[in-house]
Amino acid sequence: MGKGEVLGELEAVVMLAVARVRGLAHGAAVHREIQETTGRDVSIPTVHVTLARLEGKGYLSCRLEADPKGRRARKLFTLTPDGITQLELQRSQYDRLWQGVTLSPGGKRGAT
Amino acid sequence: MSRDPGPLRLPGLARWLITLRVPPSERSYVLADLEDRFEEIARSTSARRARMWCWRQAVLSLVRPSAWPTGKGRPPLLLVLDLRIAARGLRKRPLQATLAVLTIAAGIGLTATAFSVLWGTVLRGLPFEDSERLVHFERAHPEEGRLSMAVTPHDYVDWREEQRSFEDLGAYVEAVALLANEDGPPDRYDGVFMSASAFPLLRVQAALGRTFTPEDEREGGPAAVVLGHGLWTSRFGGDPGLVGREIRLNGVPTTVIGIMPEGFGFPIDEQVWLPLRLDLSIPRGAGRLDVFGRLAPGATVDEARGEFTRISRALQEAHPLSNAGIQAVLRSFTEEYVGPDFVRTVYRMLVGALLVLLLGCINVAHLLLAHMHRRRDELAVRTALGASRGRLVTQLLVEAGVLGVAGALGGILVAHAGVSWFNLAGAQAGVFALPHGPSSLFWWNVELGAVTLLWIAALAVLVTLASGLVPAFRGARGATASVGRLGRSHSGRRPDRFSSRLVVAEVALSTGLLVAAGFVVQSVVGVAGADEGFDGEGVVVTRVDLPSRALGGEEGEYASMAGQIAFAERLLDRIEADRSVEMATIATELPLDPPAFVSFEVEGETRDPLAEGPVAGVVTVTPGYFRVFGLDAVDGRTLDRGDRDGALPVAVVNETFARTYLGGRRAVGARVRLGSAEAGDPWLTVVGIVPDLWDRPRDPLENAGVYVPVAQADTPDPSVRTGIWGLRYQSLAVRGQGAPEGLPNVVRAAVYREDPGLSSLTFRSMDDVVQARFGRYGVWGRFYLVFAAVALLLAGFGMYGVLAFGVERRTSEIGVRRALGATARDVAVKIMGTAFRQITAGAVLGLFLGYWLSRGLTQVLYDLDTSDARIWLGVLLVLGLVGAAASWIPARRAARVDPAAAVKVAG
Repeated sequence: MGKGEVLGELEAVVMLAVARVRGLAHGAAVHREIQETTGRDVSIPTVHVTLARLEGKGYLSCRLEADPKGRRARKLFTLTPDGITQLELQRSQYDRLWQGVTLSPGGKRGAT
Repeated sequence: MSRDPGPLRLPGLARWLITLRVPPSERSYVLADLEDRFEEIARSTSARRARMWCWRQAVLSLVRPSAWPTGKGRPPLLLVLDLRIAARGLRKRPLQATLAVLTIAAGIGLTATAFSVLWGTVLRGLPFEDSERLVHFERAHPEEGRLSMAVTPHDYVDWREEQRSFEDLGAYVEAVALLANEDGPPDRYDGVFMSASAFPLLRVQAALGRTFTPEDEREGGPAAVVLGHGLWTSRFGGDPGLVGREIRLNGVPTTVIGIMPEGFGFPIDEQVWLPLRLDLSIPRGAGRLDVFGRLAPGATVDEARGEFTRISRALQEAHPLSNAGIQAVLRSFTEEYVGPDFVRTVYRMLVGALLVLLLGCINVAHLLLAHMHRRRDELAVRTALGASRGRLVTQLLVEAGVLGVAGALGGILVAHAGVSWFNLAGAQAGVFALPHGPSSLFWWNVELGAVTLLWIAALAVLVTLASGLVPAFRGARGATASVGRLGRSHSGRRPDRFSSRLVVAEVALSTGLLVAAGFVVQSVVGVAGADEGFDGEGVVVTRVDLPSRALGGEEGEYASMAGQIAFAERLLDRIEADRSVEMATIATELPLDPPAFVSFEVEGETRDPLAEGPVAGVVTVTPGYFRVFGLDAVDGRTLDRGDRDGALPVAVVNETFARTYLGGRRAVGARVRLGSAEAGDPWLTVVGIVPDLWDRPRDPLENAGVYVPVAQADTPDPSVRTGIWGLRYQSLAVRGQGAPEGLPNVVRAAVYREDPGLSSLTFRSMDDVVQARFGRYGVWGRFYLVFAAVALLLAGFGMYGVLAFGVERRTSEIGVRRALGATARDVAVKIMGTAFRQITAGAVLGLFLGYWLSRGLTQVLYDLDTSDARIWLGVLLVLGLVGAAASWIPARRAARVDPAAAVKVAG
């Protein structure tokens, strides 16, 4: 774990969505967050698969919660310390990569 | 979706699709989130949007199936894997895949449309118990070539008494039902006089109350009526208390004795049934009825025919004047009402659609074949890695299946459009060429229902197998054979026989469809430009019904012929007094209506007193008829106001009559007698000849026509000239000075000033009448035109694809030829030569197919002449051009093959 693992793009999006929801996020909230902030159309099963995979990697922890309205039970996800580390790591990598980059219309990257 | 959305619920199918690949342990969590999101979206936008969102989710889940961590999800199904491989393969060639799907969609859609029509009108059958045991009766006089005559009341009564083969016979004849309104004129409905025996024979009972009993048929019995469910609900609000109450019908208080069950509209789509009270005081030969019976248990139609031959013979002997030569004709009820012509038409339509579909299959088969060829290395590698032949075949078939299913979905859309269009066109133009008029039968229902959807599903499977099996097996076999030759060209040398057969089949089918389509174009153009023989533009027509005793009305002054004539003349005077009217006429029949057929004799010609003479169509008209319809005398004069009762009895004949019966001498001045001397019918002097105008029927006899003046219709037996109804139904036609829009109001005002008690009038323009009569030719025609257009497109693409593929496969061979000194020209000639051989073989087969198809079309199309060489040559020309274009491009490409490169490919 830790530095060895690389987050997939969708995994990063899902984890950030969990982070944005703050506290305990269930799949619907994650899905809404992705939809509303990025405009991406993701299927709910895909969100679940990704959540499950992240749980497997130890970046998210999950607990079951019976719905207060007495309906279906649902899974609530929250970031684990490992997950937080991983996200921060990724962010710092990205930040460094972006430093000094100016995008010019013709070329792929600008000069430092 | 205009329906009320109802309680908010996830679309079931979408929900199922979304969770299809979700492992059971996770399903409940996915569903919980799905429902949450669905509700959220429904709340923030609308239920409709939420549903659309849900469907998008379903599509997403299918297109990008989520990969569950191993151990949690199901192992990937082979089928899903195959689907993914197929989708990947097809995505690489979007144009070809789209073409293939469109092809199948067109084929399946057309086929499903034709099938819906066949199912809804013919196959579903009559809604009566054991309807195949119902037999319809007509009379015929074969010696005179009259094959379809109505049954007279006298014959019906005698038949019913004599026969033993049937449980019983029933009779009916159309009626008019005028239902009184509080104010204003009464409303007119189509009704039927029905014998009491008819309902039990059909095995229907009243939903409320009862049907007729023999008591109701008694002359002078209390007035009774049975109403249809539709009329009962629309006009009487479905009030069950209506049974037993009196309503005002045809001017008399009539007791409603029963309501028929929903959907019953015997025989066509009527809603009012009146008791049939036979008047046997009329002459034996007069009157007309529709008669049917239900075969007695154990009896067969053949036995019944034998019995009726005997009965007819006995009647011929007993009543030589009226029954000489008359036979009974027994036909199954379905055949009578749907008609063999119609059934054949629909079947041919289905055949045409299936041919288009077959063409589509060939194209798809070919597409897959080419695809196999290009993928031979991939397949060989997979074989080498251990894929069994069965696996490969399955996988290749799945690819065909994806195309088939996508095509079927498109086909549903096409069929939906086709069915809607067909119903619309049918309603407008009377597509259903029924013997009993243009309206549609009450049990007919052409729709895109469950049966049609099943049919589409079956077709999708068939298409998959038909187009996929051969390429799949060949692909798999080729792969096994070429494992050791990866990267080299394979089937280069030997021309592929299967592929060239595909070209021949493709060309044959296209030719056949094009020939049929050519004749359709010929016919449609012919009908559009056909001269009806009269000028109906700007003419408005209607029918005035005078009350009649037979309908339970009070006849008053209209009881006598003289009263009816006087009414007609007064009414015409009133109408013509209006300045917007140029001329008006009243006649027993207007142009395109079938006239009454009457036997006649020509003065100076002797005839066998027992044999019935020739017959002519007789129309009784007022003098304005000829001016209203723009008919000028070609010889002599037309009728005028001087041709009155008391003056010289006169007639105007049409050209066919003059040529056929008065030929060899000057027709004007000759004398003819309608009816017979025994009955006291007078000699009529022919004063003029007018052009023919009746719709050219198949029987040339029916073209002979005689016009007699209304003013002279009051003869000893007026029914000879005006039929049994006399002038109780007066067809009225008005030509205006300018635009016809105001004419209906003028006529209405005149009719109600004349007699405020008459029924409401409905007006049609003569153009509409013509359209209703000829429109169906255009509708069928357009249907075949669509076939033809699709077929031509498919044929063009198909031929190009097949030939181009042939060249591609022979690249190495061509390269070798070029290397050995063949010029580009030689190569192009060779390629085109092969193509032309295949096209010629296909064209010859196709011409036979085209002949067969177009022979079927003569049943439904107007003036179709299969000997028209222009069509045959035109099709060959079009085909030649398409073939040349389709082979020219690949031939040029072949000619440009670089020998070095090609030989390198050949390794």
